[in-house]
Amino acid sequence: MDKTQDKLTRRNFLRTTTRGVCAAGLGALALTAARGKGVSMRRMVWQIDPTKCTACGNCATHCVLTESAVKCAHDFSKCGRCNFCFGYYKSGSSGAKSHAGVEFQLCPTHAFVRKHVVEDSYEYTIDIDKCTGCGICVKGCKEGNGSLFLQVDQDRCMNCNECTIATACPAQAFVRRPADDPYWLQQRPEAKS
Amino acid sequence: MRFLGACILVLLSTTVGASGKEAFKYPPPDLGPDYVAPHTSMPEITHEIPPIVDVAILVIALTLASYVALKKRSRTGTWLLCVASLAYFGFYRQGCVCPIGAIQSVAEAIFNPAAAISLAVIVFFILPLMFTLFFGRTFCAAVCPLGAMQEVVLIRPLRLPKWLTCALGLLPCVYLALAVLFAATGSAYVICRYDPFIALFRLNGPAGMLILGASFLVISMFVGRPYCRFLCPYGLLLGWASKLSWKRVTITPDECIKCRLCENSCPYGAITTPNADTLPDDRKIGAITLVCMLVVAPLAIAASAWIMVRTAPSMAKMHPTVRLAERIVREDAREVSDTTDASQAFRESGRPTKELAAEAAEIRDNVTQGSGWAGAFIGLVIALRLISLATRRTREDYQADRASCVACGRCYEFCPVNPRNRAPQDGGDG
Amino acid sequence: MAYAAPDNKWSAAWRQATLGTAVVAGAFTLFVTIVMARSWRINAESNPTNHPELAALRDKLAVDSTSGKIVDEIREKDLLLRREFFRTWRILDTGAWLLLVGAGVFAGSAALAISARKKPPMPAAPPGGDDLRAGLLGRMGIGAAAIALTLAALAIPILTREVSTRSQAKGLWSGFRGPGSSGISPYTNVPLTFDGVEGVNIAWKVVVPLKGQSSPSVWDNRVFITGANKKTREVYCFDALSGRITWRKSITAGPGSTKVPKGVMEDDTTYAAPTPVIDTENKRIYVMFANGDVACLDVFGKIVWQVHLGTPDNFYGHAASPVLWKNSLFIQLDQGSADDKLSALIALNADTGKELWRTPRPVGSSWPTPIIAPVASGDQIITCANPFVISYNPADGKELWRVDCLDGDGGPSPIYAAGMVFATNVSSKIAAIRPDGKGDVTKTHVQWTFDEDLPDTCSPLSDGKLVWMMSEGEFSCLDAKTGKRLWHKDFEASFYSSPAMAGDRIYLISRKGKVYVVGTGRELKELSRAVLGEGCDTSPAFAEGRMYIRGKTHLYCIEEQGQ
Repeated sequence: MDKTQDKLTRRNFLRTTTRGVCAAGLGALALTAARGKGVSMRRMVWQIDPTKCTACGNCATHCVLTESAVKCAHDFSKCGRCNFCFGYYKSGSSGAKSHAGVEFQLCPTHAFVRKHVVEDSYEYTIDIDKCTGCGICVKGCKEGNGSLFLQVDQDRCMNCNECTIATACPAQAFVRRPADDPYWLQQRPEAKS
Repeated sequence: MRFLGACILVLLSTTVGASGKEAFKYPPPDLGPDYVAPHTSMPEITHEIPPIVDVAILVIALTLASYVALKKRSRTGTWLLCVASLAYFGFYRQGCVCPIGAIQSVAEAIFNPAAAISLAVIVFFILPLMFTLFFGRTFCAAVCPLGAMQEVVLIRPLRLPKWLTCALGLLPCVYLALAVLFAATGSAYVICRYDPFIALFRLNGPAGMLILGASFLVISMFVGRPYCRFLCPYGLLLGWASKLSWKRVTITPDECIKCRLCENSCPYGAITTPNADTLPDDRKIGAITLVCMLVVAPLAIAASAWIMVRTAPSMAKMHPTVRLAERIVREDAREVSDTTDASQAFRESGRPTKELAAEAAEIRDNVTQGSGWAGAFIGLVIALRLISLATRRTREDYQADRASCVACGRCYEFCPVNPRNRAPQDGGDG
Repeated sequence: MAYAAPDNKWSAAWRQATLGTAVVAGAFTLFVTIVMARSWRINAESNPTNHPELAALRDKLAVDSTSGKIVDEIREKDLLLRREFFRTWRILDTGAWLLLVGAGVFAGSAALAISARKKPPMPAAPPGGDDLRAGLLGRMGIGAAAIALTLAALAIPILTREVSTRSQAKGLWSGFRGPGSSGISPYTNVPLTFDGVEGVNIAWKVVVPLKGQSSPSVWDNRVFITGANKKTREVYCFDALSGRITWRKSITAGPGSTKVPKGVMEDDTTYAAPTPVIDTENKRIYVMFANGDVACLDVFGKIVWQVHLGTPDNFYGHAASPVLWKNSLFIQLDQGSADDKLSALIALNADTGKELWRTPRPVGSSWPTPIIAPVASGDQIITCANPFVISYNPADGKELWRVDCLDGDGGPSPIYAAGMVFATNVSSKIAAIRPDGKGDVTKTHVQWTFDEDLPDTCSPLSDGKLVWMMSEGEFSCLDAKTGKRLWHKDFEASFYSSPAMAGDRIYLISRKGKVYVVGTGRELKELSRAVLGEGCDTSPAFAEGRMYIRGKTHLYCIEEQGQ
């Protein structure tokens, strides 16, 4: 063993004292960091504020995951069940029939599914496994009722310290939320009753 | 509290719902009593690793690393733990959250109490520092996935000349100062953004980051831990903590016999040679140098602070709000012909330009002020390094330098005093 | 992991094995890297969401949305791209793991191979405790680093300085037929020849997503244009330098305006015939569509206000462009037949879209755009519709004078030159009117008339001395003072685009996209012929050195191209 290590030399005394001071300082630093309102016992997760989101498309391309963690959500209470859905058809698809293919559909992965209900009304649902979070349908629906919005799928999100989509977001729409209330669903379960 | 929150939520959503009905461009049709609208939902979190588990694994890993490196004095054990950490913290947890990146979260939380931060992140920042205060840089040795990545690919270490290590050794303090500056002003998390290995951990990433990671790996084959030694801001902090550590790595478990066998064993240049036998250098020159350096110190601090303040307006551009405000000004002055997604989004939001400009001005002020402090810090570190280079300390035997030793344990294998190296050799070379 | 004894057979074999493994693993890693790099490139190139070929097909489909052939082509191309995209994606996915394993094995075996060869360290020189020298070297290193960092810090402001990208694209063409609605360009340096097919003197050529008969309006680096179909109405802002769409804004139907107007000739008048008007002072543009929607947008594409003037009952579709005067926006909304009493001249507050005044008009559907005539006694709005030319006071909409001289369903707008109003229509005559009368001045203020080869769509053109007009291919030049025809020439083509003048040249664009350039003299002088390459019914816009022409599907920027 290093013999000088156990001896109470002047240098070792100084070192021990400084160590104590530093440990105390670190504790104080931790407490200062933990004093704020934003501190949570839970994990903090990234989420999109749909009121700010412009559906620019960066979510699909900037996520660290090959298939983005961002997915499209649908607020069915707002959906107008339109026949000519702005989120489903490309603009200028006047020649489109009801069962249009890639040529007229906006969704690049056919994740936006159209189902006939009655007369001129159609139900639109999102196949979340196919959705890439590109927001093309969301952008389209902004011209309509705006019932589509993007959300970070918390089951896929890696929860990076700095979200790469957040840095690329032109509207600064990415915010941190506590993990026990991770979604910004416009239609909340409480409001349904 | 929770109840109150729920009430407000219900109130909000009902009012929004009521006022929203009026605003529908395409009123939802009445689809009859048989129609049941699907429920709006998003996936539940199913495979979440609670932060407490991560913290527990970190504590276990740190304890094990300290035990293996200091008590067992086992290079193999350190190496195995290193690979395990690389597998868990690196490839399984994909590098997040790590203490290096936690510097920024903590800095932001200190300067902005409203910043969202998980307690686990603070613990991740504090724990390795605390362990280092007592056991040296055992975190670097076997827990940090970035260190582990470089450790396992190190094949043929080259010795770097003294002037180069001293020069490159300044980078971590610049990186630390900038990282804290950008995090504290809410501009960016540069450490995360330019983490060279994260793309490799994720087996995916932008081409630029993958190439950066690969080049760091290639360099790591010949230069020991280039990221840890010449960039890692957390390594700088750990180095300081290690200088005060209670226990430390000693090359020999007993008295050093000065056999010189360990001299070239450290790939990180952390072994200091004894100088007690050599004649002290010309004391007069040494004294003059020291006085010169003491004079240079305040100048270095002032100059560095001035340079950083001068650079502040450019650095403020790291903040998206500042970038946006500048863009809006340029667009309004018709200096540019097109718009960006960000300026488009801002104009859509209907926020007054004045408000944005005021916010940007405040951030710019913060960055300028912070730059001054960051510059002074860099200057101080430079000054201290210069002064310490001008002092001479007597060293009796071969020792691991407290600050730069990462406790990898390579030197253990070269020491003939180490009983482990003596016993199993059947030829008996001891 | 200690040193290998140098003369051990096993250790030699071990060394060879590890070395061999390292070589094989290294080669494997290299191979995987090459395969992955190739797949990565193919993957990027076969992304169906941004593939140029697919985008071109989609543009074609936007023009002809019922073509089954294009639909089939798109589907086939899309399928092929997807197949390739996901095939390479899978390669990349597995490749990453293979690469990891390969690199790991390589690093491990290489480390073992090297450690197997390692001899016990034999330090050569005695320990040189030359601290002074080491300290000096260290200080030199720190000094060099400090200098490098300082230089870097000083270079950052220079590197991040934003250079003004505002460049040569200059010019204002604020609405239909440009300054004073005259069709005369203040810019004279426009190419004499060009070819839209071969790309001669074409700065750029881009697809306008939706159809429209509106002409481009230009403000420096921005080119505004509208397009629409039955359901969608859009405003486009093109970057004048690159031709890229800077923004496109969909004008969604407001309350009451969801009705599709009847009788609009989709391929002739189109749903987007009125030309956007630029308000440089307030940095806004005003647009109108066939369904009666009028909108004001800022130059960044944000809607400032939007009003619906009722679905126009116009049997070809509404075509008159809005006109801006001070803070009023005038819309000549003539509809139905004269007996329906539906037509009116409407003034809107340009800031809010609120109606300022509305003057009923005794006419049926019409298509000419009104003009503002800066008459000495005060500004006047001159309107044309079968059978009257009527002038109003722009401040309050009071009628000033009228002339009964028009007949037919024609679209030529009036012009004002050298203190005279020139108005014409297909089955009547061209009349030169002095605008200083009161009441019905048919008998008193018509200076001269001429009634041969009259235009049915193209507006006349005048420099104050001569008046030019284009009928179905027959281009005539009259003396502005007397109305005497000086010359005429039959171009044997059909024209909708109004003649436009830049310097001493008159540009005539036929419906088939042939461009004839003639001189402005008292004698006919044909200067050159150019080719647009596609049908064109709109009037050109001019800017510094440039001409913008909207064809059936593309917007062209014509500019002298260097060698």
